[in-house]
Amino acid sequence: MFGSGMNLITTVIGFGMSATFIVFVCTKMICRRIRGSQTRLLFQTESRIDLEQAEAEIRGVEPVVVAAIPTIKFNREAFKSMEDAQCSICLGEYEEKEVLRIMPKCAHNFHLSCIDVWLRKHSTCPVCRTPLLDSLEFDTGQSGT
Amino acid sequence: MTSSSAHSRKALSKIACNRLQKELVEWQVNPPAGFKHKVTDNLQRWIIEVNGAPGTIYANETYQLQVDFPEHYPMEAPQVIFIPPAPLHPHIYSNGHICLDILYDSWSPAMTVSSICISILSMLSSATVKQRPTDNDRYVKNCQNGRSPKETRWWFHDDKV
Repeated sequence: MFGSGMNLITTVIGFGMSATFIVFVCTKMICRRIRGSQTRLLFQTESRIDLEQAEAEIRGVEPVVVAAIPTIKFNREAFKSMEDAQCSICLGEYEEKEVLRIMPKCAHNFHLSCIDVWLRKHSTCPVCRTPLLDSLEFDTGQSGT
Repeated sequence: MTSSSAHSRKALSKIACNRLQKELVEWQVNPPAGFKHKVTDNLQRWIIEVNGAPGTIYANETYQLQVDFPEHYPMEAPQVIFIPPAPLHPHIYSNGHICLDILYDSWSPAMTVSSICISILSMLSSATVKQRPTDNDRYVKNCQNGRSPKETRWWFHDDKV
């Protein structure tokens, strides 16, 4: 009799505690979700004006797209006409057989290793700010018609 | 205040070191007019003397710029501030912070310390009145714990000065 009463109390307490725990976890999740949507909302209103610029500047270029940008192996003979055979990111002069990437629209060139790091987080040419994505989309659009 | 923040900053990467050494050599051969680099053994912090251009409202005035380079320079912009007393200008706060887009959102790795200096001098030269930004007091109060201007959310709205 006494033992079964004790068992009942333990069961009730156990149920109570787990119920409290579940409620606690649920409230926390709901709170977090509400707060998340609020900050997102704030961020949206704040940044609406420079959204266009932010999209072009902050977002990098997909690795697949970067890989599709033409490259060339530097060759002193072929680049003779170039006044300044230098990478404007590292300021190093191009050496024989170094791999360069040529921007599709503006033809500015950089060491592949230098420009690829920049394009991970940005999508414009470092020299003239020509947006890279537009030019690519534009090009494919043209070839399609 | 600013020196302690520099000590906690990460050291320059090898790429950053190489590039800064090249910039320093180029500066020594061909320094931008009106600027003088004060020689120190610290490659990560440059102190540069600025002379107001003749014929402008800052003629015959000298100011000092402090340029601190991040670990991944030039992929990230350097932090450029005037060491107070900063010139009285509608885009320069009394704590030395400069509201100039190329130092923040519009930075590009093809820019150099030299090109930044030219932009700053051009910004000074086009000013017609010596005055602080209208929100100077509020902004400076907000930066009291030594906050970097790179953490500020800047609004670039005035392209005249």
